[in-house]
Amino acid sequence: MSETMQRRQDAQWLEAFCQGDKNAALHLTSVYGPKAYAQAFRRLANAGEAEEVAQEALLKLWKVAPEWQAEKAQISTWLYRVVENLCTDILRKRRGSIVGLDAVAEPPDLSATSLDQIQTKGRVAALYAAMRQLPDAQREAIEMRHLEGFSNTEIAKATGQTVRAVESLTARAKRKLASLLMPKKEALGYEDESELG
Amino acid sequence: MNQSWDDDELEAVFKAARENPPQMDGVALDRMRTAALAEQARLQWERRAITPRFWDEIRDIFVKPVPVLGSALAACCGVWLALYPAEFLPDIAMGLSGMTDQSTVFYALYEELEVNEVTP
Repeated sequence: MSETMQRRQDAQWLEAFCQGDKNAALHLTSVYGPKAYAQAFRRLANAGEAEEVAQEALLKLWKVAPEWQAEKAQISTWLYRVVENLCTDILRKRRGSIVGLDAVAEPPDLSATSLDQIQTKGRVAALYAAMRQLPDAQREAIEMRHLEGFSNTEIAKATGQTVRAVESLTARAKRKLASLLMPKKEALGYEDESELG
Repeated sequence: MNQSWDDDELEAVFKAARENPPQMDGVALDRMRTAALAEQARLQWERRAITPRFWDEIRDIFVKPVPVLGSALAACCGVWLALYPAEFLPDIAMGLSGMTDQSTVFYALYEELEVNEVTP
């Protein structure tokens, strides 16, 4: 779906929300709640805090819904920015306090029985950990491009940068990620080149 | 074994991350839905209780007259200053100092009364 169409659709959903359409409220929550949560979790590595962030971000969305301007933003990029700021606030508070047990990253859920699933979870967890070590601008660029699926143009608009700057940030982030993940390659099960694809 | 990561390998990890995003607890999602409905209900109530017309009326009463009254007052001051001869300005100053004198007189009277109360 094109960016313009997405914006129009977003505006229609929000308009329906404001008109009291319960389906719109449930639809928007079901689509954007988990997205906001996933983004917050990747950044904070804490389920409780990620839930709080997602909840607060959606509340902010409901508050701005009556004044939403379709031509200015799409919900996903707007929400991305809000979640990003809320996470930054939490991380700032964390730095100023002693890290409690709640703030410690939760171990991966090993309830998955197959080796493949465990391996995948391990790889994803390693990726998130490496991404948290990237500079903010690079992390945002790579996250929006490769995990959220935004185009470079959308990222540029959302972050207030040029498309070339976004491309450069993404390339640098990839190189940094590769170097951060390199020592873990064997541990993550990349023993055989033919395995990848 | 190749220890470096190429683009394909990184893309494979990104793909795994996209396909396995952090899963939100179902209870938490329910809480979000409830909060969304509550916020929607609040918005509906607000829209019914406080209509745009209400805000228009408030603006008509309090905000609109402010620039008009302000301009009128400024115009009056301007006219007064333009018409009032400059030679009378010292009189105004005298008048003000006269007020001060009056207050001194009142204070003296007050003191005298107080003294009288103590020694009738």
